[in-house]
This record gives sequence, C-alpha cells and structure tokens, in this order.
Amino acid sequence: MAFVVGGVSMAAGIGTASATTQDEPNAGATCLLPILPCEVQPSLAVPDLPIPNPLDSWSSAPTADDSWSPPPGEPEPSKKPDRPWKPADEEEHRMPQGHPETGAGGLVPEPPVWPFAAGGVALLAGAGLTGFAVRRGKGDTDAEGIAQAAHR
Amino acid sequence: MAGSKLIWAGAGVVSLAGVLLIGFGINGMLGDGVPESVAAAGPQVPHSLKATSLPSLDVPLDKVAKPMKAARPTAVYIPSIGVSAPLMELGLDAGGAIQNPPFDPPNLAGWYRYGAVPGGRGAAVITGHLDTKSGPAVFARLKDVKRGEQVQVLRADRSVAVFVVDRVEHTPKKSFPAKKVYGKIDYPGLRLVTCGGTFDRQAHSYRDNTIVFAHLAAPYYPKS
Repeated sequence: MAFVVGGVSMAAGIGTASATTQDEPNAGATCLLPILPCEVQPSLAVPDLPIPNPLDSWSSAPTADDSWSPPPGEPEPSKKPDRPWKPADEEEHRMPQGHPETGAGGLVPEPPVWPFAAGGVALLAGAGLTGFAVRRGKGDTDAEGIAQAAHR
Repeated sequence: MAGSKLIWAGAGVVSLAGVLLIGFGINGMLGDGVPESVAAAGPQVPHSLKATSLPSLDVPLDKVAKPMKAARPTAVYIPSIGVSAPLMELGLDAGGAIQNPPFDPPNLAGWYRYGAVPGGRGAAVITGHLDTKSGPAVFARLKDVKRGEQVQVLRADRSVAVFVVDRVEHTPKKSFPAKKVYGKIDYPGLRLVTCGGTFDRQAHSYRDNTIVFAHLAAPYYPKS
C-alpha cells in the first residue's frame, strides 16, 4: 500500500525536499511527510517552479580527468609538470641584475649600551654640580651682601 | 671663590664627558658593524640538515678537466671550512636579480639555474648566506677558503664534480663584477658567492661580496 501511495505521489510531482529558497522566505517546509502534498499558505506568493523529480537525470559523476578546486581555505596546489629535469639551454642563460644579497647581520654584535648609561650618569652629575655651584655662588653673594651691610 | 670656580669647571668637564659618551653610543649604533669570526665548526645547524661530508680527494691542482655530462646539483661540500650543505635551485626575482636561498634552514645553498650546471662547460654559480638575523649561515667561513682548496658538488647522477679554488675576491657590492661571475667561459668553472665586509646597519646589508673562483679539476664517480 505504501509503495502504491509513494509511487502515485512521485508521479504527481510531489517532492520530499524540505529546503527553502530565497524566493519564499517565510514559506516553511510543510511537506515533511513524503506521501502528503505540501501545504501552501495562501497569503504567500509562491512562484510556480517545477519541482525536480528525483528520477530526473543529473550531471554526470566526475571523472578522473576533471579539474577540481581545493576546499575553502586551502591554497591552490602547484601544478608541476611531470617532465624530467633539464638544465637551461645556453640561449636561456641570463645575467642577473645587481649582486646577491646573502646576509642579514646576525654575525655583527649589537652596539654597546654602556656609553648611553655612562653618558647619562655623567650628564646628571654635571647638572648636579652646576646646581650646587649656582647655589653656592648665590650663598656667597648673599653672605658678601650681609657682611657689607654689617660693615656699614 | 676658588672653590666655586673649581665646581663650575668640574660640572663642565663631567657634562662634556656625558655628551661625548652618548655621541659615541649613537655613532656605534649608526656606524658599521664588523662580523665576528665564526668557530671552525661552521654554522650551528641541526645535524639532520647537514649533508654527509666528503674528504678531500686527490686531484691535480692545475689541470682543467673536460666538462661532465649535465646532471642536477644536489649538495656542495667544502672540506677545508666544514661546509656540507644541500642545494636548491635559484631563479630570478621580479626585478631581474638573482633569488636568494631562504634564511631558514641556515645550512642551505642555492645554484643559479639560468647558468651552467656545476661540472658542465661554463660558469656555474652557487650562492649562500653569510649569516641569518640570529647567527651564522652556510657560507659564514667562505672568506677563509684558500687557493688550491677543493669544492665538491654532488650531483643527482651520484657523480661528484671536484673543483679547485683559483682565487678569492672581495668586491664592493656597488661594483659587483657580474660579467666575471656569470659571464661565459670555455671551461667548467664554479663561482661561490656570499656577503662580506662590514655591515651597514642603516641599509641592513653587508657592503661587500666574497667571491670564490674555481675550476673543475676532476670528475669523481664514487663506487656504490
């Protein structure tokens, strides 16, 4: 009985798909039961598209010669020809421009940091001495002024 | 009063010394860097990346051998400086300059494939890095190679092209002798090229190139 109903529904073009398309944004799939016709909500405009018959022919299976694309996120594989190795012919010989750039400086020691540290300390000491000299000179001037005032 | 003058003088001297020291430090940062000498063991590379080293072979020094049949070069050996490194093929970059081997692994040299094959007629060119950003690389001691020493190139047909060094030149990069390095010669020759001289910190580049010129002394076919 089930086979008969299934065969009739298929012949009538009633599919079992539950997918939605962009053309029918709110049309929920209502044909989850394969033997019942899909319910179409009258308020929604459903385009009159042919429902694919599962018995229809489909694109042929890929053959070994077909090209394929890599999965998303994976780089395109390099296509290396299966030719045997061959040196460049004389007419293919080319003279490169400029010079080879074959060093990154890893053998060169880092410049020393101590001159900066010592120079900074010396500058601070010089500033301190200058301040001390200014204060001392000011003190001497004040003392001289006081002494002169007292002398008068 | 005299004490105050002395303090002023001391302050001036100490401040001047500070300025000079800082200037010395800045000069050291911007100036040339001289590479440190590398230990005799050569670049510190994982053993798995080293090719099996070959001993020096008994070959005539002055005789130039006939060209060998073309075969892909796979490794280079320089027994006198402890180099044994695999070879990769180098082409040209977009600007027409020779490509460089990658910095990693450091023990890797490159053969310029738009030139002669090592052992074949013409000048074969092999380049390698002097150093990486963190240490020595495959040709760190190339400048120590002397006239008469051997350079051996293993090829894919299991033959070895044994070269003998004719001379070592150090030339400024600004006047790189491209014709002498890549130009046509009528005998099987080899040129090994790396960087040399002082390091220009501003340009992030060495100022010179070290070039080893060699000729094919003998083909060698190891018995398997």
